[in-house]
Amino acid sequence: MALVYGWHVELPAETYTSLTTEYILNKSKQDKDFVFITPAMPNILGLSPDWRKGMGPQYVDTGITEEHAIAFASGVAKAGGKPLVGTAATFIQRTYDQVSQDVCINNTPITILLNYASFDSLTDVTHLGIFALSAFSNIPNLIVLAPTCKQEYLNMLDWSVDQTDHPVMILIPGNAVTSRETDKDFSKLNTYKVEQSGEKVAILALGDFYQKGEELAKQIEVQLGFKPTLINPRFANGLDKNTLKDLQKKHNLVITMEDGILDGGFGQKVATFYALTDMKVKTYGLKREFYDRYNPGELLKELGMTTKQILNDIQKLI
Amino acid sequence: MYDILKTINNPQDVKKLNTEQLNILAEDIREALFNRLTKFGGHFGPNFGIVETEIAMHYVFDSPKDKFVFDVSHQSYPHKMLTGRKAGYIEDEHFIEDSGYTNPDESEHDLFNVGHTSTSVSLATGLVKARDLKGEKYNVVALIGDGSLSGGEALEGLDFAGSEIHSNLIIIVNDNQQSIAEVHGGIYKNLDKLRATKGTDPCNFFKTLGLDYIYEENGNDIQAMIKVFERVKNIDHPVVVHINTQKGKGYKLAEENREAWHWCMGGMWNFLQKLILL
Ligand SMILES: Cc1ncc(C[n+]2csc(CCOP(=O)(O)OP(=O)(O)O)c2C)c(N)n1
Repeated sequence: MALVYGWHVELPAETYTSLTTEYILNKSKQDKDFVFITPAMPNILGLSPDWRKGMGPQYVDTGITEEHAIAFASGVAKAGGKPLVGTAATFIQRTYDQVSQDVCINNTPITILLNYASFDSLTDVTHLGIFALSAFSNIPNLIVLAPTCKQEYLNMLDWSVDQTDHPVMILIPGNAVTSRETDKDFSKLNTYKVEQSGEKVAILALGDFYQKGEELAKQIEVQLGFKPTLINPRFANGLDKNTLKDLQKKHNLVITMEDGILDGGFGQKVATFYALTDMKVKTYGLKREFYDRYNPGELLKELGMTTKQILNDIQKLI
Repeated sequence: MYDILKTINNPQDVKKLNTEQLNILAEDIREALFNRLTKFGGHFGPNFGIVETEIAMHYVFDSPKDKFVFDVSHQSYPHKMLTGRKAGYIEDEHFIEDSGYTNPDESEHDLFNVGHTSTSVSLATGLVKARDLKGEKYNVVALIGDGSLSGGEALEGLDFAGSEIHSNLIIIVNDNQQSIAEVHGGIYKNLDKLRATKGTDPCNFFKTLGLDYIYEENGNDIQAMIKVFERVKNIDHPVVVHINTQKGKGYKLAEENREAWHWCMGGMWNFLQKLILL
């Protein structure tokens, strides 16, 4: 707490942005091959002018050049560096072909780190973060990671920046920081984490919607009287076929939840997997729409995505 | 308060003002910007720095017949106030009605809904092409910041305009020597040189691309800006008007810390935090 002009002002608590700043500063001290690259957006990852200066050659502001920054990072990775490119999700949209050709066809191990990749961040129609997940998910070779808490976020960053096999995109959660022990290694691609084993209903809650999945699982137990399965998919664009097949034994309804548009996103891939089976799949996410200056809480309600609304749906479906 | 601004309902009203009234209008606009931005949030430095330019644009050109294209459009707030939307700045209950970017749903004076950088020159060249195909006559004006010039699309647009456009196109390069953070790129060495020589250095990036070029060092002087715009109005080829402005002009903290004051969160609470973090 700080006292300003006689008023108490809460100093900001730990955020995913402050965790990112800390990671970047530590990593650049520990690893001379690491370079943080940003197309003119150091501020949204918390890098102040002094900190940038302190990083010396391990900090590169490329100008407002998203396309160049991605291809530049590919070159860095090719020559043995460890590039981390950071900006806002909305600004990466113009780099579709650099990510596709210059990075993914060549499988160069760069990490793209996106802030404001949530429906609950920037709400101007020009700055929405809800499209990146589905747009980039469908580029071959790209691993899109959706962390669900502090430890998982930092472990994913560590793993991604140090590995040399894949291009990776990490979606920074848009909700408040939570804490849980998680895996450290993500080299077994497209493996989901079953966080709670149960029956009848399986909830696949992606990224920063994981906490909504947790809440839903709790309410199902309280209100519907059985324990559902809760899964943290982690890999936003891959199918864990073994886990999905396994679910067929004890479940007849799969719920997917994602912080992005449904079209071409995570849930649709799961629904397609089960298309010829008896499994019912209900997908929750945003519409393919240019929302503008909305109230995030109201929007969730409009989309029928509050815990109460989903519980109602489940009662009808099971 | 807002004595002159309150009389402005459309750009015609700007044209009726004398020099002194125009200067008071600039003060009113800054007051109104401060009112909205400290309470509701939005882009601070970009708008404080462009007040005189946008007053002069409306004084000289005839929007909506003449077309203005704003890059990012985060610096379009003075333009919004001069085109019937002052309530969104001086009356708190109307803040919500205006977006922080140009928005064709709000006004016929706004052409595109944009918030990403470096697109204005390309969009403007498209307007020029259609205007010429239809045999129509009006000015097309793009306003782009020095930071946004580093973007590939801006460079593509300038390159295209320098050889493929042979009719009226006015590209205002608002050089406030700042992106959000400091600028990066070789082009800025040339902008530095051009500013240092008042636009006379023979090494000129824009001319190299085939564009005509005019330099105005007093971008925050309404009369100087009126003069330069009168010179290029109805010009028959693409011209770059390179202007020197002060980001955050008129608010000392914003002039001194241009990065922190690029954008400002609404609410007195956040505003105070910004002050202590400086
Ligand atoms: C493609 C894209 N990348 C990043 C941004 C974030 N951004 C908004 S304004 C800005 C700086 C623009 O600087 P400049 O063009 O000099 O305008 P000024 O704010 O100085 O008037 C940046 C990087 C954006 N809007 N679009």
